[in-house]
Amino acid sequence: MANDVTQPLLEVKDLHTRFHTHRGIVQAVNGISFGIREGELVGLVGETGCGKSVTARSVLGLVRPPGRIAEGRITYDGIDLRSLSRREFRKLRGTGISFVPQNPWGALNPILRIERQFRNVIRAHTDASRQECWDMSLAMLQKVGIQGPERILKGYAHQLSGGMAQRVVMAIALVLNPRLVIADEPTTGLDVTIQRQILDMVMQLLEEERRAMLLVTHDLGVVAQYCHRVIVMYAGKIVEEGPVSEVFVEPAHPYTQALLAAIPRPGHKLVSLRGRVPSLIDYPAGCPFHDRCDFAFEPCSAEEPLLCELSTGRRSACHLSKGVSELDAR
Amino acid sequence: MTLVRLDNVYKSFQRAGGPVVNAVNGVSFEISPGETVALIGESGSGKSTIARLALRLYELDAGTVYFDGRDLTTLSRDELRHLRADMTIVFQEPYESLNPRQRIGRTVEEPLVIHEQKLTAAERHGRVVDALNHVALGENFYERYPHEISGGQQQRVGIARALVTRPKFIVLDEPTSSLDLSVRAQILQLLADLQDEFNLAYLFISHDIHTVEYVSDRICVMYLGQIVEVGPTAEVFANPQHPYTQALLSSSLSADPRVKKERFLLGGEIPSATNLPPGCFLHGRCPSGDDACAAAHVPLHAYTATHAVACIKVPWHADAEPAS
Amino acid sequence: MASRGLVGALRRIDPIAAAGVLLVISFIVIAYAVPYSPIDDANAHRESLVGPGKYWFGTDNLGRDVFRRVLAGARLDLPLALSGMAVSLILGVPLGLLASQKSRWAERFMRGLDMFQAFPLLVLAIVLVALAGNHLYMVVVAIALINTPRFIRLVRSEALSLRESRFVEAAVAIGATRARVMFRHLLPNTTGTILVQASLTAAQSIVVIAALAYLGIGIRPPQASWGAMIKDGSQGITTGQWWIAIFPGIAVFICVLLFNQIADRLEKVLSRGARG
Repeated sequence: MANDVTQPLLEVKDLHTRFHTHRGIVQAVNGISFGIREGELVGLVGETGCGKSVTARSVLGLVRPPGRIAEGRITYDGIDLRSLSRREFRKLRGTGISFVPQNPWGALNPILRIERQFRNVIRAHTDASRQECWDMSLAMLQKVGIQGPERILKGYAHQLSGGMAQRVVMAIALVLNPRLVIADEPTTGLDVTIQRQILDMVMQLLEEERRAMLLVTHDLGVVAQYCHRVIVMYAGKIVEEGPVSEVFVEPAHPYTQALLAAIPRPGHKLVSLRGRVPSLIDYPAGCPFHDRCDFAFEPCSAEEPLLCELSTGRRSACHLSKGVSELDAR
Repeated sequence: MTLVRLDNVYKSFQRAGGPVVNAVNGVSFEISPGETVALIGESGSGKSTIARLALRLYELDAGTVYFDGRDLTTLSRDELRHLRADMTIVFQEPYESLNPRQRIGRTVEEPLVIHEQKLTAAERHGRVVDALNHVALGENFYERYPHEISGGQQQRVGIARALVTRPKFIVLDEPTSSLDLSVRAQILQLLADLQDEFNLAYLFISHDIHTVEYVSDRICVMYLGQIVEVGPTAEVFANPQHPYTQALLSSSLSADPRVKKERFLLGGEIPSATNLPPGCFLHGRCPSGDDACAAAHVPLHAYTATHAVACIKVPWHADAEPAS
Repeated sequence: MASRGLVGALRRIDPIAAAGVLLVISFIVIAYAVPYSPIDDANAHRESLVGPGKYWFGTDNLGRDVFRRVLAGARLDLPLALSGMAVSLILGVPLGLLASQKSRWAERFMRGLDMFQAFPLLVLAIVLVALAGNHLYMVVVAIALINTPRFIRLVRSEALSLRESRFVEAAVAIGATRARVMFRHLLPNTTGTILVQASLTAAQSIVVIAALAYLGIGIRPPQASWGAMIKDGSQGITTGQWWIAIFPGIAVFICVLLFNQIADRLEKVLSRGARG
């Protein structure tokens, strides 16, 4: 995996994204920082409303009113993304960062042939000829495991099944070899066998070509099996981060522990979390997880635990793990 | 003794002017009191249609459904309606399955108003509060509206409504699919506790392999409106025989990165239910499919005493005659 | 249930809808509070608009005070419009709910409605009035004839899509009777649409009454009606007596606007209401 010396390809620093609703200001993303290095496949996991999708959209410059990035710096390859104009951002999408949304139908134009949609994307960034566009599209579709790509290219979106449509969207996102792909729940609506086929293909492709990915998902299995690193979010904050092989095997944060314990396994009693996610409007004092946590002690409700490094590349925002690491340090 | 029995059930749909969709093609299984039978399959497998056929919420094209010894297909509308106190359903979409203009208390009370008209208002209220307590919601939810509570709580209301008439059989149509992981665990735990307390029979419909393995006693694996494999859950998971079952189980991704994912062999996509392939429905995608598979329809046959498979490559159980 | 929807909507404080309702009510109250007798004030001379004085809006061909006649018009036009709307509502909503059932009866009923609506209904209303005699209540009948089919269609199409929803399926699954499904589950969830359509109907009925009065149907002179006044004044416009037709015209305009505004706001409040 990428070593520590290299500068991250994408770096997010102290990002705050807020939504101004009639009920108050929703702190959807509440001061998160993380980085993604070249060739790194990173899973961003959490439950509904934890801010994982908003994080992805913030990076992509796709936050729309009433949402707003209030604070923070997002740099991609040394470029400050927040300072880009809409036009400059569009230029960057496709070649630099590309996006795969959850719903492929929303991403495909129903009245244009698939071929044309590829061409539009390719020609927005290069001056490839019609034939070159065709060849590039064909090659890309084959890479994501589509048999008979000519027929797909000549057809329209409505002729595709859900799995096919998602492959096509991924192929369009990947056709210009972007260095970073951001995918928001790309296989969530799909059947498990189709999900498996697509992930096997695409993740292998990304890995081979050393492209980076931020994979937003609620499916811990997908992250455990395909990603290098995982970021766990809760109530708009990162609570834990680290290599998949460590976080999923020995979770440090009680929330990550609870999430993993909530996966049904025969012979194990299900451990369910009590209580609810805190309101993102009246953000609680202290640790956002403290009133659901079995290990909470006095400082948890008073002081917010900071994300601190447990070992190289491994961070957790918990007073307990901080205590442990401080003890270790002594 | 069986509580619910489906016998060679067929159902197809046709939209105006559209092709015929063969949703369910000859399905038989049974459920005993206190037992959880899971139906697992992907989209188009017909599992949600079966959920509704088992309660005769849809009319059957062919076949019979028995509940508590009675043939549901011969009952009149009113006779069937009265039986709905004993058999009911919980849906996948917790919010959509609640009337948005009805308070929670009213919603849970409604089956009692319909089925137990002798109860006084006070008795009804007591039963509703009791049901709400059973799903860990408590009396203070009585006056709330569905949009004021969380998805997990909405699903608990749906369960309370199903529970309030003290039924024997509940169909659970993907009850946890739209819920977050931590909430899902709560609901699964709740369903298990209720089953123990009231000796409920469940038909648990799901596409999630982890959930099914956890909750069910027996499992029916469905593909294109047919059961391709049925047996005790532990046995099927330990020793899947049908190539589709094998593929389905191997497509599950463990959250433990040390458990390496199995090789996945099934190619292609699910064929359309409007145009069913001849012979075994899987043969075009099956890694071990050959001409024999394409030739004839393969019935479910016994593989062990409790485990049946619809694949001609799987040996027949020594004592079993070929199923008809 | 319907009233709960309305009260609930107003309680959620929508100032504009509430003000609209109040304005309509005060319109009627003022109209009745100002005494008016059509014969009394015949002066036989026309006067144009004069400021604060005897005739605010001038006088008409027969020398009658236009201002007082516009107010008096509200006495007839508004109650007629509202009762026409009420009759359409009372007939249309249950029929629409019944017609949303899957049955051959419902199919035939809707087919019949198609044929009925293919008829130009205003013409039908005129024929009816002509046959049954020119009574005031015929105006209500005419409004109901035009609007009941609209309510039926609206409620039916709304109910049809609601029948596909999970909560209606859930109601069937717990053994609810067809009547219970209709009145406990479908009806409460259509109140929003029904209220909006009702306000629109009221607005449109004002125009229909004016049109009928213009044709001399229903309201007979010397009773004051906005439509009749516009008719009387329309000849004068070319000769410079614009005020006779313009003021009742403005009254129609304001009422239609008011009802449309109420409809508009109700729609917004109610669509927000169900989801909080």
